[in-house]
Amino acid sequence: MPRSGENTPLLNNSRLHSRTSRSSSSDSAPYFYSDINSDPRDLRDGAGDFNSIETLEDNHSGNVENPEPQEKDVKIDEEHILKAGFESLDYEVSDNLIYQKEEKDKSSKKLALHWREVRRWIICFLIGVLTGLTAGIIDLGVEKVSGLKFESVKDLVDKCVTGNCMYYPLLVWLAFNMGLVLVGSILTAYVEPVAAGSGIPQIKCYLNGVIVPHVVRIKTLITKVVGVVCAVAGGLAVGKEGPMIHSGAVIAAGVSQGRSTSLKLDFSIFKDFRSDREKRDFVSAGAAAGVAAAFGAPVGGVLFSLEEGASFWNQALVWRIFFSSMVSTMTLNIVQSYIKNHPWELSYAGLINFGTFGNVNYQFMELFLVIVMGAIGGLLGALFNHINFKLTIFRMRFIQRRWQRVIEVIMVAAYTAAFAYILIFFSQDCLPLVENREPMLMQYFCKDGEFSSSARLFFDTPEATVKNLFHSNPGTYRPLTLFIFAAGYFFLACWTYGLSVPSGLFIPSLLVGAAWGRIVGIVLSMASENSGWVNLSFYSLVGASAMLGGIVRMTISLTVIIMEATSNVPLGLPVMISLIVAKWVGDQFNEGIYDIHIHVQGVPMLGWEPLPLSANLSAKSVMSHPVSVFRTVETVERIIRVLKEEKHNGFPVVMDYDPDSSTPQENVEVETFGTFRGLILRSQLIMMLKKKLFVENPNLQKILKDLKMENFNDLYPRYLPIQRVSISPEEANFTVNLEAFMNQSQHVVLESASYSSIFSKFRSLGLRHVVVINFQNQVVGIVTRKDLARYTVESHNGQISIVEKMIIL
Amino acid sequence: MSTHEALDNTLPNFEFEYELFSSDNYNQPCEAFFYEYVAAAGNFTHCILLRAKPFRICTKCFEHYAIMKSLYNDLTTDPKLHNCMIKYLKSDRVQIIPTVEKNIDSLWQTSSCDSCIKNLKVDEKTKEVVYIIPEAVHKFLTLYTNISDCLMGNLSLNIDTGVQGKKNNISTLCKLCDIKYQELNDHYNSMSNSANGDVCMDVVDMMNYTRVTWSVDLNCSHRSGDAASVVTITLIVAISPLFFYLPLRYTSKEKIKTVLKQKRYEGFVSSASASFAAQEGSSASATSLPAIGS
Repeated sequence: MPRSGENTPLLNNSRLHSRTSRSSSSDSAPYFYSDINSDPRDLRDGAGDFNSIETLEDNHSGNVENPEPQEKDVKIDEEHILKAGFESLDYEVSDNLIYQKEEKDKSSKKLALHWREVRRWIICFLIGVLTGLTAGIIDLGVEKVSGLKFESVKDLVDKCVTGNCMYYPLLVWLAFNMGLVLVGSILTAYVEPVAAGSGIPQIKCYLNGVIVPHVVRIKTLITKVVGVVCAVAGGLAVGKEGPMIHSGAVIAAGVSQGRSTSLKLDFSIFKDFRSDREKRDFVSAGAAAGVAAAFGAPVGGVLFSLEEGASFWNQALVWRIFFSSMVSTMTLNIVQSYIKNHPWELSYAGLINFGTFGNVNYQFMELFLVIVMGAIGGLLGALFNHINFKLTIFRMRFIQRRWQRVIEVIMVAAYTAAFAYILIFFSQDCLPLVENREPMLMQYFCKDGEFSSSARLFFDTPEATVKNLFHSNPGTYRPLTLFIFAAGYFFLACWTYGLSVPSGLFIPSLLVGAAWGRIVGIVLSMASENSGWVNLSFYSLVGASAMLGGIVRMTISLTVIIMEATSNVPLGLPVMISLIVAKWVGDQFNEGIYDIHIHVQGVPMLGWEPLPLSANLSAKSVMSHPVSVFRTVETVERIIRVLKEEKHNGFPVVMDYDPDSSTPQENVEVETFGTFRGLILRSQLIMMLKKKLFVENPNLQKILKDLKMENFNDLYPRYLPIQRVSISPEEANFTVNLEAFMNQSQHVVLESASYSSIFSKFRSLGLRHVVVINFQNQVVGIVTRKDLARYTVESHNGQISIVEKMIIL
Repeated sequence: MSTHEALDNTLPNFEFEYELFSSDNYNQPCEAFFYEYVAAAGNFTHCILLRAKPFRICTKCFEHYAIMKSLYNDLTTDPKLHNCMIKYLKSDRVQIIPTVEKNIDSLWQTSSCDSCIKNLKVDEKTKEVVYIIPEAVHKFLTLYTNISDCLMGNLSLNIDTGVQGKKNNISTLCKLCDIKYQELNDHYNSMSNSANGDVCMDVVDMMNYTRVTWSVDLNCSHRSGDAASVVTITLIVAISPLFFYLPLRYTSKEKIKTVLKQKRYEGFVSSASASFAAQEGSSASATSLPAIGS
């Protein structure tokens, strides 16, 4: 039994079994398509590592079928690539005869329609609850583990500070950090590499319509949750917010399907929602619920989904997303109220993420300072992104083995701990111990009855430190300590983002920003004679938002998130101004960090607007030209051959076309491929072959009668590769009638259409394929997402030109 | 101007009102009760101001507090005093008495006095103040007395000797009282940790004062670090990236990537190439990229 192409180690085992059992019946057949080769959907298994696709592809690229010698080895500029491994979502419903008939039946029953809607709400409720609970688990885990760590280090410091053994707590601290981070990074590197980083770029891609392999698997969720607890408790310069957003998205994807393919669990519920379209709507709800849980900001969550992803909005969807966010915030608050010993007190102030800014006043004139701080934030953010971009390129090029990545993470963990220790060791900021309620106040070398305020910057979870920087009294920190802290944390955060460990970027940015914002406040109060107007809380908040805006370049959602997390509306305006100015300034230099990572990975992402100058491009130059098409009645043998040769996912269905004719067409400008009738998807073709819907099949009418759209989505999202479909030689000569199955309302454009118009259609309708026809309705080409995304703009000395990206394997 | 001043100086004396209200009606239950309360509140206020520094409000003023609280409680809940309550507590906008009461309560709470004096109340029958002092607080007070005795007693003995002698004496004093100080410190820390930091302010203040005396006035505390070993470890960590990144940079082979040849309508490119400036360098390759614009 040939199994030459066995190349995907992560291949689902159940499929292997089912294949072997099926093959035994037809084993004698000499003509047997059995080699398990890489179907595009399967290839995604291999390309799972979002942050480092190359290494994993080691195993695959050699085996990918490439019948023609059409590859070329060149050294590639990493900034200008697209990876072939990414695929689009099928956001469009295949509007074929079966679907139309089914919808006609369904929509005549009022209850059925209502029931579908009610189930959507139920799913949104579940998403909210589960996301809130997951966030609670992450919170609790981080708090407990880091509490344990800090307590042991504190005890040792207290012992050693009189016993002359100060190196010992440092070693213990290093061991704690490296050990915890080792767990997280090994999980990430070996179990699920796509769980690395914040997950926001991946979710952004998903909502934009690109499948990042493995991004919504349960394995990813587990790796993410455990990994982020390890990373945050291990003292890395990371936050847990980004991973919470990703977790929310995974939960949404899982719940809405009512099953887990990885765990081989199928609750047989929510079968209606097993399509890319429904799933993606739920994923946007999950991302919103994640934000809501991460910051206690339900409205911010909704706006995050709006700003970052969902291109397709309607009122009903917004309602459901808002509902999920609200439920998730409330669930987390209930969990938190238990953790904080105020059970069911949902209005308890300790639940507000960044603490309450009770009476922070500002004058109109201070808004000008806010603008300046926004500009500083933009500049620093641009610097951060640039350094991180270079670092990411370096990592992609040189750090390829998994163990190398693990070592890198551990090294950064050690560095972070050593930085913290040495800063505390040499900066002697002592404050009288007025408050005895906080357990983690370290004395270090301070006199008895005092505590070291610089130690307080590190001996707590990052969130608590942000809170601390926002709210602690003037004089708590010396400017020099703050400066060293901010600078060190800036570079550590920059170094950390992109490591093979789950890591959020919000909290580190806020920390750095709050620190330098506080410095600005201190300097102002020193410079002005009557310093009563300077409010350090205000300046550290503005600094934090400017820094965050400079790095991630989001505006609306961040403003609302910060407003909700501080539960303060009057501060909204300064926060907004600082964010907008930071974005404007930063955008002059580079993109936001998430977009940088998306582009470096070669994801074919479509922006909001078509590129400038792109009106010059027409459909003819954009389209893929020789098109593989099927006739309305096509032979099985040809279908199988084309499916094996081509990796495309959609094929135009045509009339009046002879695939075997070798005579060149006469009197045509562009070679044509028959008159356009519709479009058929690979998954549908495979399903038809598997169900043996051949014209010659005597049972055809019976099978057709029982056939439902649901059957097509049975295996969603992991369809069978064509090589796994067994066809006897006799069957290969049969024919299939595609008319009932092809999409009748496929979008088409004329060959003279401009790039911008095609782009707008793709972006606003979420298309996957657009067929290019001429005025006689003959197919001349096909446009997919990658054909559009491969253009990018480069500017040289003020001249803008359009450059094409290469598509690499 | 002068008229204003004249007016200011001639504020009429309202003392007669007070007389009218008080002396005649002193025997009425309501007024009697009220004056009792005023006296208790006065006592308590006097006490807390007196005991503000060193902070001894919980341990010295709790009796006044209990009496005042019980009177106020009676005033607000006793049905016989209902009209009296309306008169004194609710009949104007400012509502002085509830405000004062609220302030005192919040003071009592921020001082966490309840953690030192438990079950504080006035016995109904005997009219005596009853309370319980927790074991831990009791122990702390004993230890505190020990260390104070140790320090004060020895310090006052040697107060007359010369400067040189005093220094020696202080270092011997440190040794002498060290055990007691550590005992107190440890006990305080355990109290602080076990009760979620809810230690009453008297205890915190005693501890703070002792600590300041110990480490600032007497300089008995010696905390120092051995910088050398810490710096060494930090340096090792600090240079570790060099050993990681540099070898990788020079040994690790960059992967060669395969460029997919895209299916394009070639006729278009060739026929239209005149209008496009071909990108230098890559123009020859199969993936040649037409640059658009000037």
